[in-house]
Amino acid sequence: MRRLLALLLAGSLAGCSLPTLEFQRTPTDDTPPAPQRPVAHHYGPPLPAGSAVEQPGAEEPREINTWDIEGSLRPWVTEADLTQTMGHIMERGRLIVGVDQSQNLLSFRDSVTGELEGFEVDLAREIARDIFDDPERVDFRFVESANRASALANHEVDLIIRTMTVTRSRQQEVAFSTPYLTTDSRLLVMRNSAITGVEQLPGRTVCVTDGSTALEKARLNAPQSRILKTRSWADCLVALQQNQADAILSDDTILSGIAAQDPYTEIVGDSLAAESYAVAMALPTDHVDTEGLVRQVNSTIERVLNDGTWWRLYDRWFAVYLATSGPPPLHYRPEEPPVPPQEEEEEEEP
Amino acid sequence: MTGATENPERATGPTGTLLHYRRTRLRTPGNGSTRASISVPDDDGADVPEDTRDHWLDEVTSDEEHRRRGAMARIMDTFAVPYLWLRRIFAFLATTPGKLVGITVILSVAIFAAGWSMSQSSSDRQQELDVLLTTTEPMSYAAHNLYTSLSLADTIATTGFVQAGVESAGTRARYNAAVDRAMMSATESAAGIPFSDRETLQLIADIERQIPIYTGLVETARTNNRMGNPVGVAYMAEASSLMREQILPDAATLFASTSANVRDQQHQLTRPQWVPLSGLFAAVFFLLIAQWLLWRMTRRRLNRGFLAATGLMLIAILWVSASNFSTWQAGTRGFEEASMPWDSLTASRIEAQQARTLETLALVRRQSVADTSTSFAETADAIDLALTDFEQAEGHNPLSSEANRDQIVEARSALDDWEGAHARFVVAMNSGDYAEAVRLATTTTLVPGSPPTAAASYDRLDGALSRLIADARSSMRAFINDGLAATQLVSTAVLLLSVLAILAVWIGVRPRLQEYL
Repeated sequence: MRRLLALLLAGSLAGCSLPTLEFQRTPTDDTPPAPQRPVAHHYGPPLPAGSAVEQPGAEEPREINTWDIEGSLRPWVTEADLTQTMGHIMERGRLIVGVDQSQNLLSFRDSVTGELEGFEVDLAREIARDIFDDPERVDFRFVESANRASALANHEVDLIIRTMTVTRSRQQEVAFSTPYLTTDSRLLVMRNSAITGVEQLPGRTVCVTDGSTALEKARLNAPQSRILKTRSWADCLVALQQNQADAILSDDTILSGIAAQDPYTEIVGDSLAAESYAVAMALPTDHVDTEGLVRQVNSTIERVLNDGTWWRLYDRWFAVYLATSGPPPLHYRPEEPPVPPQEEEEEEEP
Repeated sequence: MTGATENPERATGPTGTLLHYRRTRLRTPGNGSTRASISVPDDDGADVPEDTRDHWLDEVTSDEEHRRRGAMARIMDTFAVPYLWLRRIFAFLATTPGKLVGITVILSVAIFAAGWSMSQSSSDRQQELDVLLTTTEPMSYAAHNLYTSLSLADTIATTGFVQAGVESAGTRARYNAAVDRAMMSATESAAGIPFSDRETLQLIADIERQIPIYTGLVETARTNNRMGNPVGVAYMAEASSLMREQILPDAATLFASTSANVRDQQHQLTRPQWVPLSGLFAAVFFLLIAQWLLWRMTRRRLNRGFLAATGLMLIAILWVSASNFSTWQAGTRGFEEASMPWDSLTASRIEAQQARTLETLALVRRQSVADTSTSFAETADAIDLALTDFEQAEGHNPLSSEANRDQIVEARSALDDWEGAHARFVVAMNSGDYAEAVRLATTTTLVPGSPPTAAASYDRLDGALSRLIADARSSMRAFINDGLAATQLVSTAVLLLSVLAILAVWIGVRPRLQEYL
């Protein structure tokens, strides 16, 4: 009997669950960890999209060789059959040109019309005019500064007209035309910043685009400054306006376009280097022969320099902001006057 | 007691008996020397009979005995009374009326415990279902709204930058509405989170911290655009990348975790309440044993009270089981017919928005769209699959409305249109017809006679999807509500039935007891 009672008691206890007690305040020693807060400079707007900061001295400056440059290919001496020399473009019927998305005065979108405009865009249209007799047969693609060579190598674009400085090392990757513009590298700063040249840069942040010659110039001339590397020059203006950079190191044609958008900025300092821009094309490969394209582009540049178009374009875009010593001289490699390929060579064309 | 342990030496001292010493010491709370100088002969008290002495102190009469018997005796003393009681109780329980009383008491405790635990469990479940309905599910919905509004705001702001001129008043209004809805949703989704859920709070805090930065950048971009400064595009790119790389992934994580919460809670709350149910079964089992014992003791086969108690407990079991079953059924059907379609619809709506963003980004960046067409086809497939899911779920639902079928048809046709328009958009982009690409991707006005644009078809698709999602959501809530309704009254009913059963047991046993009185 007793055993049975004990069994019953145990059973009844098992069937019973105590109501859960809820304490309003449970004093414990471990206070809940406060949410991690980002460090101070992370408040507010982020750095421009795709940009990165390089600490002073993190990278050794590479030499920018702008004196030992191989000249470009001369235009054909006689009128060439373009369907043979640059068949793939003629077949497409359009020229695909890589430009900057928002580089004031050089290549930018007019917000009223929605059209792309600027010195480089006009130059691209002149090239198209000579190929197709129609300046509108151009398909513009935006390329980032650092992707210029790869966009050409992957044949995403036929030409790059995007403030691309001719250097010896770049000639290993792309084929340049003869230069279309010469520039001086200088600094753009806020008017109240008291920066008058590269001497004041130590301890400050310099903005350049990634993969540009300005990046090497910044490493060379401002070794004690942080370097903000952006995807485009417009991002540098954003960084300057957001106080994430103290100066922009670039060419005066680019800087004048930036200064035109912000009256509180000014171009300061002496010229750090003189450079020239050229149209870049892919190096000739077994699949795509770009020789004909290079010669065709050079013939356009020659025409633009000779018939006054160059001055017209320069006056339209830069006259208000910059003085110029005129167009850059033609720069060709020594070779026999090239003759366009004849009909019978058709089999050899890709 | 204290005197004996504190000063055992004094007991054999020259002052006389221990009792005498204690009394004098208590009256003159000094040391031995003062006691010697003060003479208190009148109040010696040793000659007064025991029972007439003043009793202002507890009497300690057996000091010497205690000392001699030691610890064992003290244990015996401590437990002597309870032991006596126990012996008496067991003696009583050994008698037949004792057995009757014992069984009845144990039965009462068992029934009450089972009933109480079931009632508590049911009321907990009801509360949790209520939390699911009023907090968890609305939070998940708010997270979904947060994601879609943010994504919409970014798409509108971005497309504003590929169209010529300043954006229209309507576009501006839609952007403002999307941002407003996003902020509302962020606050709503934060409302139901316990302060201990740091991760979710951090997600919402990050989103809410970045939205003002995003809108600030968009406004700067707009102002620059109005001024004709190309840097506006750079500001817009910065804003858009902030949205796509930080805010939207956070919002997606928030949505995923909140909808997982809904699923988990729903699943958990539809499981049968096995443990408390087993308690009820145990109570019935005890009742049956008790009746068998009663029969053995009293030679009466059936007892009306006990029978009634058994019946009442069986009713309780039935009631709980029925409630459990209908909750489970509502949960299962709710999952199949509402939760699952809701999940796939929300996921595919988000995918559609991402595809739309890719479309506009291709315009803004003037990129090749070749790589986006494969992902676009996948997105279209996912949307189609989600629509099929929903259709099948609707097929199970006898109350499915004509309106829903219309919405599915609308969504399907909008999806077809969008696919066609996207194909034309890709062709236009690849052939350099930028103006046509812009028109296809941004114009929402339909030109009679020409096929609809991507923007217009997407808007139709998104509208249809959002209406279907709203419908799936309301049926999901209806199912949760059904589950809640099934738990209604269970708690009270079970408690009441158990109390009645206890009463019945006592009433039943009373005449048997009276036979012995």
